[in-house]
Amino acid sequence: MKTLAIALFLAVAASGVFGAGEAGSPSPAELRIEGAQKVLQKQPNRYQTYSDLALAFVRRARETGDSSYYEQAGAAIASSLRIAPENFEAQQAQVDLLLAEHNYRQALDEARALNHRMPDAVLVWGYMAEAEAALGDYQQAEDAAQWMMNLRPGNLPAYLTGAELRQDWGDIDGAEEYFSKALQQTPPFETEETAWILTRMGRLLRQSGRPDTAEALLQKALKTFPDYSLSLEEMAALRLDQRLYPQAVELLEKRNGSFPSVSSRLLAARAYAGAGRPADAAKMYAEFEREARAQMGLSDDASLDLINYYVDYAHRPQEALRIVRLRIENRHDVWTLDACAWALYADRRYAEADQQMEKALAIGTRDAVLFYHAGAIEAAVGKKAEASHYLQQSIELNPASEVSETARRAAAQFPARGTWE
Amino acid sequence: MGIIANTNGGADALPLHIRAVQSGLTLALILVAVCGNGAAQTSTDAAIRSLQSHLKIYPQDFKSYDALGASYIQKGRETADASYYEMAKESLEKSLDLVSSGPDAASAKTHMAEVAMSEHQFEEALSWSQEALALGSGDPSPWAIVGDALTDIGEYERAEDAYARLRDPLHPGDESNGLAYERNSRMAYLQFLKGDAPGAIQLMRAAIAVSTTLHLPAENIAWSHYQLGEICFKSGDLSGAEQAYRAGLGIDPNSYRNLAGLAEVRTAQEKYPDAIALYKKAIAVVPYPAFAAALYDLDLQVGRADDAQKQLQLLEFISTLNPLNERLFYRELALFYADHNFKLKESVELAKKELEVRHDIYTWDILAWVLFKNGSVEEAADAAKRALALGTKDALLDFHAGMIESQLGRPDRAQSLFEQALALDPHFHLVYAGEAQEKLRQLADSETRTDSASSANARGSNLGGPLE
Repeated sequence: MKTLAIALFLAVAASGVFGAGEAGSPSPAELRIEGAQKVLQKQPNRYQTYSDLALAFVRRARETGDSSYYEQAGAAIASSLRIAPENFEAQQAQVDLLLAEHNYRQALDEARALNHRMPDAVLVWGYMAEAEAALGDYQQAEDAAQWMMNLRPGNLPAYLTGAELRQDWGDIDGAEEYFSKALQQTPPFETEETAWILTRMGRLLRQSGRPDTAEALLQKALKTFPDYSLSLEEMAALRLDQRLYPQAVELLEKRNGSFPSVSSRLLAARAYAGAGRPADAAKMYAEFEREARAQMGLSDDASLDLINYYVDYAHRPQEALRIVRLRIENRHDVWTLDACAWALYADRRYAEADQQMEKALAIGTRDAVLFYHAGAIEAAVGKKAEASHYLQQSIELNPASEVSETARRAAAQFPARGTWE
Repeated sequence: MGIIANTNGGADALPLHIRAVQSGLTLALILVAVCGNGAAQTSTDAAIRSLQSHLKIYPQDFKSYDALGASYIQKGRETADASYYEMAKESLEKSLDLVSSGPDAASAKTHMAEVAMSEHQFEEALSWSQEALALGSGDPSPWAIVGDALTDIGEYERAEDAYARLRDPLHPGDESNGLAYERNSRMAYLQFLKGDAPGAIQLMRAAIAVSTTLHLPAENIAWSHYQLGEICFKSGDLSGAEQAYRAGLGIDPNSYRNLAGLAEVRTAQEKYPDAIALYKKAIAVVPYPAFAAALYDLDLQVGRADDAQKQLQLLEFISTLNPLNERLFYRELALFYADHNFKLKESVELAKKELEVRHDIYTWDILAWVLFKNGSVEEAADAAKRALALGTKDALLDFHAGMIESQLGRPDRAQSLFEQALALDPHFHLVYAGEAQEKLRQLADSETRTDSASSANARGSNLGGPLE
């Protein structure tokens, strides 16, 4: 059924209704920015339009990967609030901006205040759900997402929020179902939004061992919104899984041609290493480390890549643990808990690592790297049956993941599951 | 699921062509009707009053501002008083000032799109409805306005794609909900334009069944019957048309569209006094220029030149009552002037102004007709080609094109078009149905003469043999 939904979407999208993705045409965010600026030329005191402009800038940042748009969004919000202090739309745009910048704690506080003021605003519930999930408060996130669905059944932000939550809980089929529904709801002229959803879906399927479908979705995303940085990056991740390193390098060089992200630099370093270009890899790792450290204070997500980098590549577990401590003060999401467990493992603090991993696994997330980490930690604490179980899960879930070969080698050290039970 | 009132297939999309009846209507009566004095208080009025009171107490309630805007739109539909659309816009702007992002704002933006449609701002309507869709509310209704705007812009395939999206994403197979009504009623119009009247009738009947089951507002159900009546009438099915218009009047006795539709039928049946009475009733509810134009023709038909003159004054007065009215009635005025051979230059200007925003086949048809009347026959032929591009089975389109072809000296093509027009509907127009028959007779005579001449030439040739 879900595969049918994807196929149906691809067929409909292929019909090219509304000229989606026409080369040279302004993007949806550019159109919105242009529209808002035109209105403001005529009505410079229209506070509402400043909020619209801010949201358009945030979306443009996602379209291009250029974070300087966030500054422009902030300025537009400030203008709106200067004209009409306390206006709801500007405050809502402020939360949207905070989330885009991954400032989840502040976003959550401000969203809760807005929710108190207008309890039936669907988008505010969505902002709360996103922030709560990012901070690791999954139960609250679920409640908020349910409110979104109850207030307005079948709305697009609710499907997207629900899909992300289902993915976190390990309900891959359920996440796929919601992404499909979101796709069906997205109008074809919203090319970037369509490509974004396709990319998220492609990632979900790649991580769950369905590279062919993931590839089809990513190809579609790139056709819908050509040269989309997020799609190029995800396609490169797929090529890395496929061990097609030169192709991954090509994609990442294209993607990093403008506004490279911390994660795209890390991927590029891996691609260079795989392609047998150690000098380029070293240079890119250094670039990544410098950028990630610079951004640590600005964004939570750079720190996650950095922790994994210090554990897996730089072999500096102490530094990884230092960053983990900073991060875990605020966040208890599955990836923070996993990173913490993995850093503790690298520092040979296996019992503590086991405790953290238990918390991470309790959320229910199904991910090959997470399972591999769990297997390695269980092996280290002598729980061989559990180790075998998680390593097998990692391999079964995604036989081509970045850790699949290591997981296979590790799994080979253990007899088949059952012998130990 | 909100029901989006269809503005596309109203008097604009399926224009009521001019019929002749007598009218004793005075300007004073029109002004009363325009100002709405004496108009019956409806449930829409009650909703407006209730929402206004509510908003005095809760001025931050964006949903109520949206609902008030929607009620003004409905009132605008019921009365055809364009000032209600301005009031709707004001209320919707207040709603959007409070909340303009996220799924909560989709409804107000959709209603803004409706207002834009009502004011013939088609690009703006398209933009508003696309904005509404981009908010991802889960309600596909804005696709209806996307389709309507595209239909008026003349992008029929894209309009059909848009209408096809009018399905409940949670229950895509459900054919008994409001979306099925919106889809079928609009698809019916497209089917008609594509020359498939039986298909259009089938879809419209399905839409009516849903509208009745869902207990939609009387005005909406009556409008649906009117649409069915128009398709039947244009297909030459006077009995089916009468039945539909009567059904509409049974639901809403003040349905001015159905009153005028029935007047069309009576005119076609040559029951002029009945037609006049019905047009008068329609104008008493809503003084549409097309109704006044029809009465003008009827007055002339029954020899009341003085009354006809009054209708003419009335028509121009209504059309220029305010700048919005002027824009809304470009097409009606252009057609009227061209039909009656006065202000011909102005008729071209009006048609071209309409073409700036609207590129549907009926705008091309009117442009073709006014150009023909102004002697620009080649240009008229190009426009007529576009008017006929979809294969629409509408006798008046064929008649206009036939006259142009005849003027261009293409008798075979003209004959075929006149025959087609009369085959579709022998009573398609009070004056032009007879003119089409007369033209056919002339063409036949001309053919006979040409045949005789050809035979003579042939004989001459034969007799004389090769000259050299």
